Amino acid sequence: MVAPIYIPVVALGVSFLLPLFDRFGKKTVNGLFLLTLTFFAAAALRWLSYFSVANSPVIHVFTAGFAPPLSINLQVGLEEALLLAAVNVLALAGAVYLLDHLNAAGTKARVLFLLFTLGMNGLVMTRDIFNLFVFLEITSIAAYALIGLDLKLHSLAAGFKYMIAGSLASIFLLFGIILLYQASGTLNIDGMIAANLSAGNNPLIQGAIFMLFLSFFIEMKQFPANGWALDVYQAAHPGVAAMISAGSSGAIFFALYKIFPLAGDSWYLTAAISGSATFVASNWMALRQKQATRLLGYSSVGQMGLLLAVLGFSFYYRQPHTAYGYILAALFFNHFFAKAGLYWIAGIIKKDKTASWAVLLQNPLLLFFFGLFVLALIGFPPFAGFWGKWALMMNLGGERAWYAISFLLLGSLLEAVYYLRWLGQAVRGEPEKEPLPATDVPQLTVTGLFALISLAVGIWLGGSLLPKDFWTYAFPVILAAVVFLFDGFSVYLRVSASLVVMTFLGYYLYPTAQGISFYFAFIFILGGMLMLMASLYKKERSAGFYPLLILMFSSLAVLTVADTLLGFFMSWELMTVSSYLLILRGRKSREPALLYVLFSLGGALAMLAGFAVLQAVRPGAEYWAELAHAGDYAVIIYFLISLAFLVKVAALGWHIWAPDAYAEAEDDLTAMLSAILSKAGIWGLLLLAVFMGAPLWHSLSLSTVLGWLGTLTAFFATLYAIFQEDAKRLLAWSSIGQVGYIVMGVAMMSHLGWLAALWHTLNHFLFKGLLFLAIAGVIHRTGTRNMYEMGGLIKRMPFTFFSVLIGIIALSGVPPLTGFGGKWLLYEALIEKGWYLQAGVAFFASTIAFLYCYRLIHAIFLGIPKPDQLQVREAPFRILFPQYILIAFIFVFSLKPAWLLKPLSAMVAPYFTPTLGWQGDTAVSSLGYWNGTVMMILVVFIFALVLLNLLWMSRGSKKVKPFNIVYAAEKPDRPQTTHYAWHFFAPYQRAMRPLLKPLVRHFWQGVGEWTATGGSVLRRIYNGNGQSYAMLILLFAIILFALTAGA
Amino acid sequence: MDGIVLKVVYAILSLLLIFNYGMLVIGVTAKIVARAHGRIGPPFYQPYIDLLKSISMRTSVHHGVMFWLGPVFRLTGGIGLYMLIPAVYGSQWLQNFSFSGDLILVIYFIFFGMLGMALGAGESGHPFSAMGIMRGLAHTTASEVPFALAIIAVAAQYHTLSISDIVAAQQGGIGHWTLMTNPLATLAGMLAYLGMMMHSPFDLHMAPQEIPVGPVTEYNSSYLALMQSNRSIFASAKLILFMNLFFGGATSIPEMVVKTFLIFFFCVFVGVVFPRFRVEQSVRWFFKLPTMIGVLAVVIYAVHG
Repeated sequence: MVAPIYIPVVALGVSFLLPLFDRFGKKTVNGLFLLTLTFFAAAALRWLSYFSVANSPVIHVFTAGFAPPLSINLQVGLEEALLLAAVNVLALAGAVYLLDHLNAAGTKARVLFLLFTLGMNGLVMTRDIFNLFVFLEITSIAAYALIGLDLKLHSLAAGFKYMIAGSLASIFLLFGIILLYQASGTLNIDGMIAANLSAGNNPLIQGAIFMLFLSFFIEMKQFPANGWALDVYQAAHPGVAAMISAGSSGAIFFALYKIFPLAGDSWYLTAAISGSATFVASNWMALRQKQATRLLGYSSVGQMGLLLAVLGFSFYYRQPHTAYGYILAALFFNHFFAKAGLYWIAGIIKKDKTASWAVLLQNPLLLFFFGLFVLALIGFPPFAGFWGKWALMMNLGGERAWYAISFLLLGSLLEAVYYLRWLGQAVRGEPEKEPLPATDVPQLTVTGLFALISLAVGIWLGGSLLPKDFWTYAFPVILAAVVFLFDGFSVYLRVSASLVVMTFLGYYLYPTAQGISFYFAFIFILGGMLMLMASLYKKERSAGFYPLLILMFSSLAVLTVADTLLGFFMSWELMTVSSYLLILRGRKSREPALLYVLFSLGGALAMLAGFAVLQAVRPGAEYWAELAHAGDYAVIIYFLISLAFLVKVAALGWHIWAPDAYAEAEDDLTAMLSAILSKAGIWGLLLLAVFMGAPLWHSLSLSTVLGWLGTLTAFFATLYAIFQEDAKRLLAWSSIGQVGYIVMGVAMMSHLGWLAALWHTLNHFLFKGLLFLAIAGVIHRTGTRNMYEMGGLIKRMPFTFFSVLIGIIALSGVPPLTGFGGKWLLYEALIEKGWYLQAGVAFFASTIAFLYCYRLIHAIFLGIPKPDQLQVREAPFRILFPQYILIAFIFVFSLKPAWLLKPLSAMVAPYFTPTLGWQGDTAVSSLGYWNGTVMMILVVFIFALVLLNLLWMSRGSKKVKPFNIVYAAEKPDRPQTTHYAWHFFAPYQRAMRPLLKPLVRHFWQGVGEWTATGGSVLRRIYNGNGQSYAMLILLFAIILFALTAGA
Repeated sequence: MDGIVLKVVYAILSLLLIFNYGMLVIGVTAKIVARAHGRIGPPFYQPYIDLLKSISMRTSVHHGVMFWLGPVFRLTGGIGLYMLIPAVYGSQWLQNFSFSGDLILVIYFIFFGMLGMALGAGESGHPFSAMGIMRGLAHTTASEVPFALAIIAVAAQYHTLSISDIVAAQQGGIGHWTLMTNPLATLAGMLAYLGMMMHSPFDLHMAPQEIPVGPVTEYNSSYLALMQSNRSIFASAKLILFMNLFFGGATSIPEMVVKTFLIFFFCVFVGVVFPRFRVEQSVRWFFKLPTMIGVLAVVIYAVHG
C-alpha cells in the first residue's frame, strides 16, 4: 500500500523533473509521464481493493507529524478510494488519449496535465479547507492552460471566460474560508463541522457559509451561472473537455460532498432546487443544439445539476447515508465514464455537427461504443444510470417529493430526446462521403476500455439491487450476448443459435409461468421462435439483428414472470431499447424510431413515477402484489403506470409513433412488433388490473375510462387504416385498432371481457403475424409497399394470396374462422356489462375493418396485373412456411374453439366468477351461445355442396385473359388506368372528413415544437460574452441568497 | 344420428320453401314497381325465367379461381345465413340450425357472402366491379351502425341474444312486439333495414347509369345463376330476421309470408318514392337521424341499467 502523501510528492517531483528530462527526448519524457500516471492509478486501485474489504480502517496522513488543526491532513477511505481510482484511471486514459496533443505543445503541457491530476487527487483527499482551496486553484489554473494549449482563438477565449468565472468563485471561496476560520478557529473540515457553525444565527457566519457555497455552486456550473462552462466544453480539445467534464467536475463535486455538512438546513433544499433547475434547464436548452461538443456540454452541466440535487435531497431528508450514497455513486460513475467516452469519440471523428455523425457507420466498433455511452447516459439497463435513477425515484417517492420526481423525470426525458436524436443521426443519418480520419489505436482502446468499465460498473451495481432472481432478469442480456457470438456466421447458424437459446429460456421459465402469465410467455417465446424462422427469408442480416431480437423476445418473456417492480421495470426497459434499436435498422426509420422510443421512454418514466408514488404508501414496496395496498394514491398510481402500457398498445392519444414505426421497420420486424410486442402493453394492463382492480376517481371507474379509450382507439385507427395507400401503414393502423379491442376486453373487468381480450390476443398474433409476413413476402418480390402499384398478383403468388385471404377473414371476424370468436366474446361481454354505446362503436369499427381488408387484398392480388410484375415469383418458402403454421393454428381453433376457450376460461377463473358455461361444444354466455364446431361443419358442408353444383354447372366455362371485360364499347389496355386501387374509398373519405383531422398528431407536434422553441429562446442568455456570464453569476448569487435567506 | 339426418332433411325442405318464396317476392315486387310506374311489368314468375336463362347460356367465361369461387361464397353465405335463423316460431322443421349461434353470429355471417362475392368480382379486373364494391362496402358500414344499435337495444331489453328467445318474448299479441315495447330500436332498425336491403335510394352499388350492375358486372351464365338464387334466399333471410327482431316473429308459414311481405313492401315503397343517394349522401344520412335514434334507444337502457 502506498501512503497517500506520495501522490502530491510524486506529482510535484515529476513535474519539476520533466523539463530536465527534456533533453533525453520525447520518448523518455512521455515514458516518465505515463509511468507517473500509472503509479497513481495503481495506487488508487490498490486502495480501492483494500477498502472493498469491509471495515478496513481509514488511512489518515498528518503532514509534519502533527495532528490537525496544526497540520494539513489527508484522508483516504472507501469513498475517497473510489473517487481516486476513477480520477486516476481517467487521468491515465486521458493522457494516453491526449498524448499527441500534449506532445505538440511541449513538455509544459505534460507538466500541466500532471498538476491537473494532482489537483483532482488533492481535492478528493484533503481534509483541510484552505488546502482544498489550493487544490481547487491548481486544478483550475492547470485547466485554463490546458484549454488554451492549442492557441486557437476560441479556446483561448473560452479559457479566459473560465478564468473570470473561476476567479469570482475563488474570491468568494477565500472570503468564506477566512471568515469561517475566524469563527471556528480551525481550517480542518472535520473540526469546522464539529463546531456546528451553521446552527447559530450569526449573520457573519451565515454570510461566510453563503460565500463558500456560492463559490462551489458556481464551480458546479449551476444554471444560469454556467455559460462559461458550455463555452469551455465546446471550444476545448475534446480530450481536455473529457478531463474537465468527468474528472475535475467529479473531484469538485466530491469536495463539495465533503464540506456539505457545514452548510445549514436552508442550503440543503436550495441545493436540491438549484441542481434540479440546472438539470432541467440544461437539458431543455440542449434540445435544439446541433454542435456535438456543446451538446455534451449541456449534458455535463445537467448531470452536475442532477448530482447536486441528489446531494441536496440526501441531506434535506436526512436519509441514512447508504441510501443516497448508492444513488450518488451510480449517477456519478454513469456520467463519469460515459461522458469521457463521448468526448473522446467526438475527438476521434472530429465532426462538429451531430448530423454528420453518420460518419460513425464507417467504424462499427466506434458506433457500438457510442451507442453504449448514449444508452448509459439515458439510463437504460444494465448501466449504472438506470439503477441510480430507480433508487433515487424510490427514495424520493418514499419522501413524497412529488415536485422533485416530476422535475427530475422531465429532465431525464429531455436529455433522452437529444441523445436519441443524435444516436438516430449516427445510425441512420445521411452517410458521409468523407472518410473517417484514421483511427488512433490508443485512442480507440481507451474509449473501448471506458465502455467496458461503464458496462461492468452497471452490472455490478445492478447485482446489488437485484438480489432476488438475479439470473432470471440477467438472462435476456446473457442470451443476447451468446447469440452475439454467432454474428458473422451464416444466417442459418445464427437463427439456429437463436432458436436454441429461446428454447432454453422457455424451458427455464416453464415452471415459473402459470395461468395468464404462461399464456403470454407462450406467445412471446413460441411466437418469437416462429418469427425468427420467418426472418430467414432474407439471406443477409447485418450484425446485431439476432442478438437484439433475442434481447427483445427474452425480455418480453421475462416480463411475464417478473413479480418485482424493479425486475419488471428493467425487463420493460430492455424490451424498449432492443425494439428501438431494431426499428432503427429500417432504411428510413430515423424519425419513426425516435418517436417510438421517446413515447416509450415517456411511458416508462411515468411507470417509474407510479412505482415511486407507491413508496409513499408502502415504504420499501418491491412486489407487484403491493400495488393492491395503494390506498388513497391508487388512482394516480394506476394512471401513471398505465401510461407505459397505453403507449405500447398505441392507445388513442399515444399512438402517433405506431404507424410510422410499423411502416418503416424492416418488413419481418413489423410482423414481430405488431403480432408480439404490442401484447406487452396488454400484459401490463392485465397485471395492473389483477393487482389494482379498477380504482375509482370520485365515482368514475378508471376501467370505464380505459374501456372508452380502447373503443375510440379501435374506431379511429380502423378509420385511418382504410385511407392508406401503403400496405404496411394500412396494417399498422389496423394493428392499433385491433389492440384497441383487446384493451376494451381488459377494461371490462369481467370473466367474458377478459376471455375476449385473451382470445383476441392470440388471434391477433395469428392473423396479424400472418398478414405482415405475407405482405413482407410481397414487398420482397415486388419492391414496393404502395398497393396501387400492384395488382393481379393472385396468379403469381397464389400461396401468399391464400395467406392474406385467411388473414383478413380471421381479422374481420367473419364466421367460421377464429376472428368471430373474439367478436362474439367481445359483444356478449359488452352487452352483459351494459356498455351498450361502446358496443355500438365497436361494431361500427369492425364493419369499417371490412373496408381496409378488402382494399388490401383487392389492390394487391385482384384486378389486373401490372406489366412489370408479370414475372414476379411466389414468396420464398422460408417466409411462407411460418405463415402456414399460423394458418394451421387458425383452422384448429376455428374448428375447435373449445380447445382454446376452455383453458382460457380456467386462467381467468381465479379473478372473476366464470359466466361462460358449456353444453358440449356450445359456449353459453348469460346472453347467447355459440358453437364454432357446428358452424364450421355447416359452412364447409354448404360450401362443398354449392361448389360441386357450380363445378357441374360451369363445365364448359372458359378462362379468359385480363382485359377481356365488358367495358362501355371500349377495350381498356392499360392496367394503370383500369385497376381501380388508388384512393379507393374517396367518397367515404369525403363523407368522413370531419372525423379525419389528425388532432392528436397536431397536439404532440405542438408540444414538441413549443418545448424545443422554449429551450432555444432560453439558451440565448448564453451569448458568449464574458461580461454577460459574470452578470449571470451575480444574478445567480442573488437568487441563491434569496433562496437560502428566505428559508 | 337420426337427429342429424332429420335436421338435414328439414333444412333442405326449409330451404326449398324460402328459395321459392324469395323468387316470388322478387317477381311480385317487380310487378308492383312497374304498376307504380304505370307500366304493365314482367310476369311474377320472371325471376324463374331469368334463372333458367342464366343456367342455359351457351357461353360461359371466368377470370380465375377467386372469380369462380365468388358465387360459391355468395350462395353459401345466403344459405348459411338462412340456416342460422329460426324461420317460424314453434315449428320444428323451420328451426334450421339456429342452435349454432345467436344474433351476433347471424350478423357477422351476413358478411361472409358479401366478402366472398366482393373478392370474386374483384378478380374480374373490371373497374366497375371494384367501384360497385367500394360503394357497397362504404354504404354497408353506415347502415350497420343504426342496425347494431337497434340490436344492442333489443338485446338489452330482452337480456338475451338468442333469436328464438327474442321471438318467444314477443308472443302474446301485437302489444308485446318490439315495435310496441321498444319503438326507438324498431325505428332505428327499420331505417337501417332500408340500407341493408340495398334498394333505392340505397342502390348506389349497382347504379345502372354510372356503373352498370356494379359488382356483378362480369358475372355470367351459371355464375350469375348462383348469384340470382342467392338473391332470393338472402333477401328472405334478412326479412325473417327483421320480422323476428321487431315484429313478433311468426308462428305459422302464412303469418311469416304476410309479415315478411309487408316488411319487404316497406323498402319497395320507399324505393319507388325516393331517387338514389350518392355514397357520401347515404353515409351521412345514416349517421344522422337513424344513428341518433339508435343511440337514444341504447342510452335509455344504459342509463336504466
